Amino acid sequence: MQTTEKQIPKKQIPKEQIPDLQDPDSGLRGLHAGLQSIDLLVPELFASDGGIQAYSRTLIRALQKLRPQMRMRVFILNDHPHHLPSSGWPGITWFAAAGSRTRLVGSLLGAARQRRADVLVATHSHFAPLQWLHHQLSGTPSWCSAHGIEVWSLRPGWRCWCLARLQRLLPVSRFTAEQLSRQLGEHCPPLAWLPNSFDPQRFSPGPRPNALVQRYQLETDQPLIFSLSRLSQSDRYKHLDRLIEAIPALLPQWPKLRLMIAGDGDDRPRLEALVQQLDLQRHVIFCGRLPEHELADHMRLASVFALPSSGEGFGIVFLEALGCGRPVLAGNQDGSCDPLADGRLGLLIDPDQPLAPALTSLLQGQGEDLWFQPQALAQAAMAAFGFEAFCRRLEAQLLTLESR
Amino acid sequence: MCGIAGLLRGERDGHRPAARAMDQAMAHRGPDGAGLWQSAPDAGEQVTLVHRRLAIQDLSPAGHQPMVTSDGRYVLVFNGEIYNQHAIRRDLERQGHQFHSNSDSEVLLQVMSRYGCAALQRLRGMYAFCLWDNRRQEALLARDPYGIKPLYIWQGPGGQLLFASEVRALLASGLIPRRLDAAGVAGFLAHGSVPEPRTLVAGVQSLPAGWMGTWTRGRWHAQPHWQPSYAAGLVGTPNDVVGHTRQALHESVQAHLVSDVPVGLFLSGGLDSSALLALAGGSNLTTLSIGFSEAGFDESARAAALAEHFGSRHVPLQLGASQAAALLPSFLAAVDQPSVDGFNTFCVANLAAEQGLKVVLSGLGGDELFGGYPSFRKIPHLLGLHQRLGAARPVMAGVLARSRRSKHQRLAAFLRGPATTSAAHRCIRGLFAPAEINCLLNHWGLDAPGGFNARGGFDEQDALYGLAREASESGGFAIDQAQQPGHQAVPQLGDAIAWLESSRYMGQQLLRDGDGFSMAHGLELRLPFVDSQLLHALAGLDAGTRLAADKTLLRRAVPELMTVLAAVPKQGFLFPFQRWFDSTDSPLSPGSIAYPLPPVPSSIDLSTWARRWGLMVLRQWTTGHLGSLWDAAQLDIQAAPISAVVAPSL
Repeated sequence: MQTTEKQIPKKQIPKEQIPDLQDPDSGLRGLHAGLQSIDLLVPELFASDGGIQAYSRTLIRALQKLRPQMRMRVFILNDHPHHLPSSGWPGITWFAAAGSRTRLVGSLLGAARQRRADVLVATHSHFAPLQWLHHQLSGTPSWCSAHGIEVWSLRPGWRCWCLARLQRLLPVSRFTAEQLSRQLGEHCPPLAWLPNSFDPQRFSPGPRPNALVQRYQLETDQPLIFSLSRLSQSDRYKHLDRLIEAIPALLPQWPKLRLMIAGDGDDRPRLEALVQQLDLQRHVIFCGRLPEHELADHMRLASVFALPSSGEGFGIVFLEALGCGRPVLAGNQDGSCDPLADGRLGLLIDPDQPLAPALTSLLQGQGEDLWFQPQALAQAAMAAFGFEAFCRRLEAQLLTLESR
Repeated sequence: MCGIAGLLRGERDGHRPAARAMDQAMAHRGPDGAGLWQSAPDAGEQVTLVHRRLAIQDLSPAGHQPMVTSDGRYVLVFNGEIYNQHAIRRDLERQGHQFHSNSDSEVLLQVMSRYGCAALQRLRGMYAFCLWDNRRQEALLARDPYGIKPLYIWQGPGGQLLFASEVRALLASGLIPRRLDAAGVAGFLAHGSVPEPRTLVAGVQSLPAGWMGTWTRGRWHAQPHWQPSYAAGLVGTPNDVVGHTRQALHESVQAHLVSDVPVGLFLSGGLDSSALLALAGGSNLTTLSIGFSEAGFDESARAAALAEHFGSRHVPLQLGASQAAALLPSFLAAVDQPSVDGFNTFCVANLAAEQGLKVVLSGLGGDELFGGYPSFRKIPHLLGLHQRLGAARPVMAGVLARSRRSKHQRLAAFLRGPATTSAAHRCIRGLFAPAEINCLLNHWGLDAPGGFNARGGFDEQDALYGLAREASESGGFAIDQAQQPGHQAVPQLGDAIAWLESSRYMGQQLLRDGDGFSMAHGLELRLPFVDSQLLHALAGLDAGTRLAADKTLLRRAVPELMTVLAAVPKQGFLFPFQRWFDSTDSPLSPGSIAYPLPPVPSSIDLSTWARRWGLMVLRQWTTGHLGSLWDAAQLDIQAAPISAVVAPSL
């Protein structure tokens, strides 16, 4: 077996990198010692950044905080050994399968033979068949996160059959929960809403960074709509084209308006052609894929953050924009309703409708007072979706396991 | 449901008399109150807003308009109904707002002033309104998605803008030149109603359905705030399509029952109105049916059976040729924009108003939503024919063009042009063929408008739909483009036909007539099938299911109806127009001394009543509102060409 195992001794972890462990008022840590061990199955963790990676890391952090004594084994499909961190993650045994499913299956079942975990949690539904097999062999309860589009239209088959036979599903949004319930019907396992979280220390309100203002040759108070997404042909449900198409109707009122689109992918040429066709080269900036450390600063450039998607499982980017105190526009047809708290934290719109009227309102500062109060908005987002809120929701699920 | 008008900019001294005249011209729309608001002389732009009230929700003076926010910043004049006002009200109350009335006008005022034009998406209802923002010195005008409520505008010199619920109210202001729009005439002859955004008056435009416009310091900018979408969502079809449909219908019907006055229902005995009765429940409804003495036209027995089954208070009404003839003068006086339809609506509204009703539901829109029209079968057939004929098309078109028959003329025009859904729709629904229109325009001395040619008619991107181009350029919804299957908004041919029927035949003829002729009697017409949220719920269903023959989906969604309908045979609910009009001694006959037609070349086929009726109404309207143009033409067409009198405007 080629599995790479890398145990990181707890003593090597500088505690300041895990601020929540320093929090004496948490009230959550160590109250319940029922769970002894947990296995986690994740598609990717450190090799790249994305919604599922962020969610998986948050889950691990939360488990560390809630059950610091619990043994944790993390099986990662895509990461290679060199992706694994050398510090900052105490008490975890890593298994990096380097993209090999065979290696992943072997290491998971091999580990189960060595020691049976109290629960196996997967952070992607593609693992459902493996989870079912694991449960058959080990008897370990198996939970699975469900994010978005990958479980909205399940085809009858092996994965669907296995999903229905897991012990719990953890949808990240109520919309995804509804779709699971609709498709799996009476066979649907218990559903527990476990929405995403964000890092309020990275994503916090602040002024427009001068360096970026200069880089993009902006004026200090120039209106700017910021959007962030993978620009993939398969992700056209993000409707970035409609965002571009809305710009001409806004220019009479805001002649200096800029639309900044961050992200890259195979759909970018089409979007750039649309910009040319509408003669908007002066107004639309494609800034490509952003390094993680620049993301929050780009959010702070925004007058409005807009992603009128109709296919978001949840949309962590909305939380990050809210964390930066920016007014947010999102679609009302999908999981986006959750991070915007059904419209209390931002403007929900039908993405099939013209976007210019809604963008006009936000650029004019019309909407709920909270949307235009950066500090209060960031606080509200943190209260609803900060790490503490994530821990509270996860704790409720762990308790159900321990109270059996 | 009311009438609104306004003047933005212009001589302050001239505002008040113009506003009074507009108010008087709309008196029939609002018998329950009138209001006028004028900006302070030193407050910037000179603005006058006029309102005529028909009280439906909150009958007290608290619903008086123009309505002003407590800080004096926003002023609203609003015509329509917001059916989800209570949900919006609760949301605003959660944010700490205190309301002073139960009126939907106050809810609209508050939600618009707080959220701006983003709030338009939250509205369920029919509306046309103007919201004036004193601080920004900006007016926002908006019209509901389907255009149930009308709104006309005229842009004058120096950035002045006038708006009103009716073209006649704008003309009454005395500020607008009474000039005929040749493109409007051509559009009327082509479609049987004047296509948006044209009117018969040069310079007066209809704000298109689902559009909004802002006027700031003399600059007018219009854009769509709504567009249809028949695209399926990412989550696929609901498991229970029939249950989903019934739920959506039920919600729409319940929303349309919100009222502080009794609600009636026009019960024709057909599937659509019967479904509304079944979904609404009969206990609190007054149902009205119309019977005719002419054999084969009386459905009143079927309506009575339905009413008895569902327990509504039923009032069977009778209409005969002589009574219809007596109503004709007042009908013609009530026409705001001519159409070949509408007399039936006028007669029915007259009878309903005599029963003391102020609100009546109608099954209008069911055919558009569930594929009830023959066009859903004929258009695919026509498109197939176009393709099959291939190189033989010009020959076939030439042969057909020699015929005098209207149908052949229209088919010839279709075969000469590209095979688009909208061209096929025009072929089926059109009144006159392009060659005939050209002949009539020439005969009347009018120049053919740009974008029109006598062989193929109007191009897909023609002058009549000029606003479609503007919409496309501004990122909005291009009307003709979106009527082609394959567009993301109308992925299937059936969807394209459904939207053509909804936006053209229904939107520009039935809805316009419905509003004008119900309001002529102080009656509010409500249309549960014409509801953007209902469309949103059903449009994503596969077109084959939604538009299945015989409106199968609607039948299955209201199964309790079938036993009653099956027991009484259906005859077809139609007004006996053909018999009334074709009878030689009929006082209703268009072309008689009392109701003359404009001069028509002998080559034009006038055998169908709709053509004669349309020409008669056109003549009556232009004579009544723009002067005696047709009489002059009749006297000496060659010597006094109408083009000398009427400056065509494109």
